Amino acid sequence: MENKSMSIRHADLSPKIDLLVIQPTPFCNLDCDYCYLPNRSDTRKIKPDTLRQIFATVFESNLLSRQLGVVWHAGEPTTMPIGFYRDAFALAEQARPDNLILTHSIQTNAVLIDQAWCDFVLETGLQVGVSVDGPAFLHDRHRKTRSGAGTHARTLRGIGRLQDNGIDFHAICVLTRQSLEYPDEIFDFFADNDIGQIGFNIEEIEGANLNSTLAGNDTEVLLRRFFHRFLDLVKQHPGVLDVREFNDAMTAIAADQDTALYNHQVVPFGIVSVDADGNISTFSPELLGQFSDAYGNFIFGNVHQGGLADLEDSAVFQKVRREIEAGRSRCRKSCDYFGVCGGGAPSNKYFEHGRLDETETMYCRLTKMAVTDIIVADIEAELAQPDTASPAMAGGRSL
Amino acid sequence: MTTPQPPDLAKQTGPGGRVIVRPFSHYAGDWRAVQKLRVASDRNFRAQDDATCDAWRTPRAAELLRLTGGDDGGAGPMVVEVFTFPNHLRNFSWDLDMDQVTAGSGETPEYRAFADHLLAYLEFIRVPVDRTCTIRAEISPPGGEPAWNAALPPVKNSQTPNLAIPAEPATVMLNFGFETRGVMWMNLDRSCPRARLALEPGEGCFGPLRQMRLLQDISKMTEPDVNLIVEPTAPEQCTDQNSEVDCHDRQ
Repeated sequence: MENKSMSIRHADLSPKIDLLVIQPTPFCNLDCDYCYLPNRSDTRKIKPDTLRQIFATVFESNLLSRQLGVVWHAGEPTTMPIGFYRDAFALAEQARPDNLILTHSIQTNAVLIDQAWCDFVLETGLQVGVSVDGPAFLHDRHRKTRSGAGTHARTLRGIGRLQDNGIDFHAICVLTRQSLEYPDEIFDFFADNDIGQIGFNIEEIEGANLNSTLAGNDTEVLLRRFFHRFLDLVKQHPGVLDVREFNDAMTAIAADQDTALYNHQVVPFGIVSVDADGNISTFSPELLGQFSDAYGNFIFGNVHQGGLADLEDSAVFQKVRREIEAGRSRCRKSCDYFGVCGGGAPSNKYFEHGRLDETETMYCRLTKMAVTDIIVADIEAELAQPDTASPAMAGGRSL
Repeated sequence: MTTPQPPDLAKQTGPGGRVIVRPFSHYAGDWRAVQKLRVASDRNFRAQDDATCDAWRTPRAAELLRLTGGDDGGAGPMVVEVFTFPNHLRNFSWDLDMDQVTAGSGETPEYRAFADHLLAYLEFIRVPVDRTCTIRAEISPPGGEPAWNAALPPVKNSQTPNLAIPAEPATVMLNFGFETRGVMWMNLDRSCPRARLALEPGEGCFGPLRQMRLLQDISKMTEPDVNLIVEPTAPEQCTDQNSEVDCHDRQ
């Protein structure tokens, strides 16, 4: 899952679906060497009947709130033709309850973005995220075609088309060990290319990516240096870059005592993921499609064989929910960062420890903990200098 | 405007020492030393001859090995390391009003901010800059004589390095201009030719070498030439009563 973000809401953990993640195909046109998806050469495509059943299953559940985000996550979503999405959006619209606000989004490598895609985005309001790892010498190191060629130029071409059409998008930049030496160059890349909203994902140990370049002993020091430097750059150039991790940390730190972090990865049905065959999973979307004897490949049901309520009868679902809750409970008791995290990412706990009832992971240390520490230190430093301006976060954010 | 005399290289050059060039920062993967190095064809080459472009030629294979340390010969060579610096620093430098900076005390807030950002970047990439240092600017109009060559105010770096930098403070040269600039050094043993390093726009180099200096041939340049030299502050400069630099801050 490319776009990991947090949200703050009142401490109500009753199951509500925030995100519906649909995998219309596992296929990806690229072969990035850090990708966690095991079946990215699989060209299966979701059938219209399965799609219709997904919407019926979700919309007829009693787990909806007023808004639902639908993430078309593959593989590479743009390998499916525009006509597929046109039909799919129409199906969703037909089945949508009157009071439900529906938004659609994709996370794309932008290689296939052409004018037809731009027209479709403008027509439908589809929200777009682009995966780009900064300048070519970093991006092309990992984001390659199956023949091993770099993809930076083609990604930039797609970005240019989005920009030429006035389409807002955010970027996701995966941080590898090599990236950590180049915060200035990454900042320059996004600033020079007028990409104003970015999020950093770390290269995780997940799924098919069994090793991360960030797994070394000194990585945490390097990552903290990186984020420290990047925060300096963001503050030196106010209004240029809006960084998800900094904003999330600021928001979580600033939240008042009556709110708690809502981490939809640890709440059953917070995220519902469905693959091209209609198999349903929940919790971290990265779990769907991963092989696991102990957890039944994290498939808890199928849209052709019952509703979401039926999933709760599944023994494997109950086992997963019990262990994830145990892990969350241990996080709450043992981790000083629980208030800004809400219980971690079950997928990272599983991929790093082989269990779901664990607590701290590399993902915790390198993202939540490191960024929170840096933001807190920055706030304290600003408060210690009363004559200086308040933290100049991009977009004018301040506590 | 002051115009310091070029350093007397011959006096600073110790016999037998060797300097090698190697990549730093970005260049680890695509270092092509042969494109960056030229050597003087005449062993009797004098520093004043550097304006004569014809004096320089491509190094032969053995010379290149020697100049880049590839021959594994000699003990403890001094190293000139080449790096690039980011566009936002270049842009920042062009936004500075250098006339204002070099007039009077030069203590403009913009200059202090620029110096802070420059040193923070150098520290981030682990260039061993002194926490109290001098930034010297050499700026020339296109194709002309040097317009001015001035020492900017001493800088007390207010940033705390994220990691300790154990090395001795280095002299750093940075090409903020738009055309290639040559850097020459003299501290070579007799088996090495004199060497010239090409610094492209956006590139810098550093080494423990006070005898590195910019070449003077700017007559063919069609763009303004801007170079900054970051140098460790000499101990005697710390006694300046008007300076903000606190000698005790030196580390």
